[in-house]
Amino acid sequence: MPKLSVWYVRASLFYMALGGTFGAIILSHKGVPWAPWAWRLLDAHIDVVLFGWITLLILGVAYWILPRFGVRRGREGWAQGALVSMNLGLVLVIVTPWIPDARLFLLVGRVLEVLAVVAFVVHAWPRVKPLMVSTADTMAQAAKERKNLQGKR
Amino acid sequence: MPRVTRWFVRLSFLYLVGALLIGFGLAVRRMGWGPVMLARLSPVYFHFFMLGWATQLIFGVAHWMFPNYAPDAPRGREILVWFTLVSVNVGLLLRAFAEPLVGQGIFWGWLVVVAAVLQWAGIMTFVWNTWPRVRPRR
Repeated sequence: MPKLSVWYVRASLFYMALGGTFGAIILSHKGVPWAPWAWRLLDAHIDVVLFGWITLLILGVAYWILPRFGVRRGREGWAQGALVSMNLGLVLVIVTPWIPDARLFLLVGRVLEVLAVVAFVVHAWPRVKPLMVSTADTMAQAAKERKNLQGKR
Repeated sequence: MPRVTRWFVRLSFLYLVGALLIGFGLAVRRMGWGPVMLARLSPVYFHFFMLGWATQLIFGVAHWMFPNYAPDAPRGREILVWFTLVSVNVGLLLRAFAEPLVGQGIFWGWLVVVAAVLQWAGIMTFVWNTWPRVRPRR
């Protein structure tokens, strides 16, 4: 598993634990009221589970297993940017209900989440290709690397 | 495919069917037909879909396909994953019965609390077992 996928998948596991904790607080409060602030967690619960857990896991595994270009995974910076943007967006969505008059945080957070997904699409788009194209790419890359090595000798 | 993965995958399919049936029930209630209680199943519908279907399918496949933990315990501590399976499913089913009845007596409220704790515990044990398996190539 490449290092960036490790970051994605570990982040997704962290968000699943966090989203599950938010959900457990909300549900238990619904059963036996003990935390009057519990419903403030609802937006964060939904975003953390949908985008933090499910989406980051899918993106992390996609980064790992989609067809490559020889030894490289294409525009890797976009995938790194997507991870940073999604995390910043989620943090803003999580803190919004706890800061007075901070509705702008929620808006900026959601924009960052959208930008994260767009950045990942920019990264992954050229990697979605049939096996033959992928194999031809790999062979062309290997031939190029062989040629470079011979040139250096 | 490990045995616990087969359980996760099969149960996830059942929850998908269950979620869609509840979705049908919610649509029926919107037409003004059926018992009023049906409308209270909305959170159960979402959680059957997200936790019962999507998350359990991911749990099963991740347990099967993620990098090995160690040669003598390639998938970590299997007992933790079995605990996740039982805890998440008992929690989800308790929730499905008890959540629509919250407000009809303290018994149902406490049953919902138990359901919340079981679902949470199942999720945490999965994270605990899977975390060390998510690592770069050696």
